[in-house]
Amino acid sequence: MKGRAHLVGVIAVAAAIALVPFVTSNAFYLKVLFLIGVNYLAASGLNVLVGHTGQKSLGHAGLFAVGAYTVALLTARAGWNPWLAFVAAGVMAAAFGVLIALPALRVKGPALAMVTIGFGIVVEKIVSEWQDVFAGQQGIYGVVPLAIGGVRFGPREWVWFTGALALAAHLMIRALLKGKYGRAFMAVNTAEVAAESVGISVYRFKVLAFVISAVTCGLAGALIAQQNQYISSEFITFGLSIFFLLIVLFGGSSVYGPLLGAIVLTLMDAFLARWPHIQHFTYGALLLFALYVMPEGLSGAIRSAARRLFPSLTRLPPLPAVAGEWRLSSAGEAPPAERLLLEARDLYKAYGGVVPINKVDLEIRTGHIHSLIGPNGAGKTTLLNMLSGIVPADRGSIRFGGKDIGRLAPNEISRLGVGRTFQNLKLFNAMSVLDNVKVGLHTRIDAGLWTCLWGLPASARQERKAGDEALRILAFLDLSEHALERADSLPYGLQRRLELARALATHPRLLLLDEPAAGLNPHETGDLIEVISRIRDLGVTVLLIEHHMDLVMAISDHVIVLDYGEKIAEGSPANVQTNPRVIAAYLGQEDDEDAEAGGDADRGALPAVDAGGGHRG
Amino acid sequence: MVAILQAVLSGLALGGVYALVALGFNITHSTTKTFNFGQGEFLVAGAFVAVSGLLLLAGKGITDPLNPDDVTLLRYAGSMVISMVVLGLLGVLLYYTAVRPFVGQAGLAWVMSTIGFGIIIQNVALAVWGPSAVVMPSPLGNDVIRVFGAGILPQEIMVLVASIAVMLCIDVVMRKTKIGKAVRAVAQSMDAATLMGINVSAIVVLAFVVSSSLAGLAGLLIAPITTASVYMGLTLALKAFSAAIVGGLNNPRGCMLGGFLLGLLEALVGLWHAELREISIFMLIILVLALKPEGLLGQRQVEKV
Amino acid sequence: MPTAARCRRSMPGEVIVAETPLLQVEGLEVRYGAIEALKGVSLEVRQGEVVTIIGGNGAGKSTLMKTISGLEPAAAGRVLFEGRDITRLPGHLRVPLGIAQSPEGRQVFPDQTIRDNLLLGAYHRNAGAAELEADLKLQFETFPRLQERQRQMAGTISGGEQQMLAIARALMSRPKLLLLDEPSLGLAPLVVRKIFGVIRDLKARGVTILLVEQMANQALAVAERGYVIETGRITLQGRGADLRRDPKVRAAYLGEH
Repeated sequence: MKGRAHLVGVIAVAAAIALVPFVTSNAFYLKVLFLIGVNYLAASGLNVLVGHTGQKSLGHAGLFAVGAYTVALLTARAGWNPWLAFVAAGVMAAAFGVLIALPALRVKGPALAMVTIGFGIVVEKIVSEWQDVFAGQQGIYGVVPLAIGGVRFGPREWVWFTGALALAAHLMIRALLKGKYGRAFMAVNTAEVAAESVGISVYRFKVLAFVISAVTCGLAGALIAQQNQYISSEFITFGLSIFFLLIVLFGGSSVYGPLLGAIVLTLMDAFLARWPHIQHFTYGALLLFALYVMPEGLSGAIRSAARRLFPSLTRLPPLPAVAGEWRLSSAGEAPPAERLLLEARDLYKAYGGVVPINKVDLEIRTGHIHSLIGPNGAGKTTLLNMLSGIVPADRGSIRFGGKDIGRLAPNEISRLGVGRTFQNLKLFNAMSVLDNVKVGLHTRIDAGLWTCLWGLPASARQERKAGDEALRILAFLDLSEHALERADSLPYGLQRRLELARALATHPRLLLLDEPAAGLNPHETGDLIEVISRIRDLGVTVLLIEHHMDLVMAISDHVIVLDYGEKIAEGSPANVQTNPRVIAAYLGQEDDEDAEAGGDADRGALPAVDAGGGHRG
Repeated sequence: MVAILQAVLSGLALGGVYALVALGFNITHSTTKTFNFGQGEFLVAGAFVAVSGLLLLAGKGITDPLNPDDVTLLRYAGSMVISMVVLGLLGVLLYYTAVRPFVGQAGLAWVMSTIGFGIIIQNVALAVWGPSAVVMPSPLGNDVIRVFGAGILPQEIMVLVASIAVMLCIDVVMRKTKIGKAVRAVAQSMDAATLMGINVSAIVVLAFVVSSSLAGLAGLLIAPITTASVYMGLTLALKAFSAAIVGGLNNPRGCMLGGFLLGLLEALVGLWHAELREISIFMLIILVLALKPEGLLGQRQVEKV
Repeated sequence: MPTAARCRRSMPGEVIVAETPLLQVEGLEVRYGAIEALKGVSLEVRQGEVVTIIGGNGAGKSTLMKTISGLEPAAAGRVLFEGRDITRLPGHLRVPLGIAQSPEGRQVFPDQTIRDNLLLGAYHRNAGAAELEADLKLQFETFPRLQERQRQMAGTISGGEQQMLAIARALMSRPKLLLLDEPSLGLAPLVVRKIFGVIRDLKARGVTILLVEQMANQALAVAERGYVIETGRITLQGRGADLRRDPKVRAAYLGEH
């Protein structure tokens, strides 16, 4: 749903929320509506964390508890105003969201899932066993509900309020996910290293996603506690965490997924409540089988069904025409050529006994195309990873533009003007080609969290500007006609080029290319040579790793040769090509019998570096 | 002093159970990089299948009440075999329905599917055996044995002895036998193992069978101490996983060590403040993750970019 | 240089059908997602031959090896072993037929002893202890270093020793065809020379070898025939000595300029 259709939908839902309580006064129906609102609220935030950022949390009952017990304690025990307590619940939950985000930065995947389960269990244990404060199973009575003008909310008011809150959450989260934040979450989800390489702090966005989900879950808890005017440890179970997660997974990661999930599962829950065994059994079956049938959730299944039935829906909107050639932001003020741009001294890295990089010095000068070559396992990619901050050096220094970058995070190095591509493509696969480039523009989109959350005009303006620039970058690389296709649907050669476009979007001063021609056919390799030259002409300095020697020899000004982690030669392509050490490194000894005589004895003295060592990965 | 000794002994017994389940996590994780998030429910199933096994062997219906007279050492051993076989088969089912279709899929789908499988098991157990806890008498009776003044239940000794015996057995099999070496080869590199002519898929199924049987055994061993309850699984499995994290998920001996450490910690903290037991465990986890994320005996995994 | 390789050693009663090559690869295609790693590769290896496939990084050499040993599925084309189509046969069932591989990067089992690594090489044979001891002894004669260190963990020995181990481990399966995937990878020149010495010895013993290498000079010196592979295609083939003198081989590595 885009633009107008969305507006109509929102108005319709708002009207329904406003009117339905007049149609029925059945307390059970109103309660179910209220619960749909609460579950949607919790799931909408959790969707940002799980569906978009890819962090599976199985402990959100803990955050629900934080919200619920905050209002309970503040109103029933400390006598706070219920509204103030409600807000405090959101704030407390946010704080706890940061708390559980911390382990998320240390561990990944299944271990993270387990840690979040652990968090949920700890909270459950605290509220059930710390009787003095939380009153355990008995629970806290007398939680003060929200009220307006001294009149406490009744079933209708709760539906209205929760509905309004849910609608607000939907609008804010939709606005947030539409722009740079949504793309950044997705980027963190798909390829953390690539996200860092365009200046996105994975750390920051993971914490943010946890906080957003914590706030909505905390508010959901507060709503339940205030509506029931009671909370006890019975509410806080692992089953609740699973239920929230199930809503998100069942609904799907589209912004409408949590809505679908909340409606279906809340109704099912209410319907099956009479048979608790079947109820839980169904959850289990859903978790297991929904994954077979609908890997993209209900919203995904509906979308693909709709596309099959109404092919016209898949027609893509026309792209705006953009005029003008793309330029670097620093164009015109580019420093004169031959200036020292990056300087590495005495770089050293060891993994156990393996030394992929051994005392390497490196000088990169502006305006040049530098090539880094060497046999398999010579340490080339490790060196590139060190320059871009992914692998910290054990010893040695790296200065970029006069600044020490040896200890900076990859996203900080990217922000300083070092862009890169990856040997094994790391595109944001599920995003469109255009959006991949827009992720590259992330740090150049000048819109803050609040601007985006409230969907202020400034964010739309920035978004349009970024879209225009992204189109110009795509035009620069002849990718315009693919702008709206999914990145992973492109042919391989174009995927490589898209990665180049994304790296260019960061407006790098230095561009690091890790085997840009790997997997390309000779024709595509020819195109690549031309593209790299044009990039150099824009004023970008290039350092590339390559095995296609034709390419290296055709475009490099300066070639650096690594072997066994050491720099064995550098200079002009012609010089390097005829250097006997380089030839020996590539082709092996010219003649074994001669070599026995010790022609190359110094090479024999090199440490037996096990750089290719398979099993350690 | 006596109290501490007593806590140490029962902590070790509890730790033996954690260690068994943790070892199960290690076995499937090292071969497939996955493990059963519903392992707690498998443990529950193990306990209840054992209860029914005892009843069957005593010539009664599978959901009849269990009397102390029904439990003899021989029948207990018989029910152990039944429980481990049934759970092993369940492991095969788990692998084919909830693990294999999702291995390698994005978004940890296997985590969700194994949880789903566990919930189904739990609710089947609820339907068959009901929600109330079942007291499972120990075949060795309930007369407290005195060790240097500390009282210990015979069942606790049995748990400790049995779990150590089983783990030693597995350790020896893994190190000395051809099949054990093949399992380790698969864990180290599936490709290289295939090049040796090892049927990797068969080994992976075997890993799930062993892991599930271990959970079944753990359930059977702990039931006489804590009573068998449909709801006991989650916390037990979570603690066992914590044990695996503390010791190092990729090192079988680390997992065992972690299990015993956690059991001891829990018992000793329980001595001091019973309500802090769980919390202390998760504090330990957070500490370990912060200081040595690969676990005490674990090996650091280098991620390739 | 030993020239004995031409004389094939045949077991008593064994009939060598010269017409059927030991290994035939026909029009093999392999894809990784969108990448076409092999685009129709054909080659053959005859009994007793040493054949090499040379080419730069990313040319598809290792993919070819993995497809022959069954680690990668073929998208199109056939692999025939002793005339039998094994294209769809799972990898672990190809070992008993007589295909053994020393994989790229060696892939020894680091947490097991050298001895156990070797015994795993004989995993499929169900051989008795005496027979295995005899085979171990044979390997230790070729690789004395391994005997000294047989109780040591494979992860603790040097890269060159690991390569020896990987080759010896493959030989423990008593293969009819030995696949060697970049045995020189990441090794210092002196060690590379030793490895090629071993390959020569094996050749002298009549072992049929398919050798994938980056070190073109050494590989072509030891092999009777060679294929040059570039971006998933065989671009040149011929006798080892001829290819060695061919300027196009150097061009394939270092560019034509």
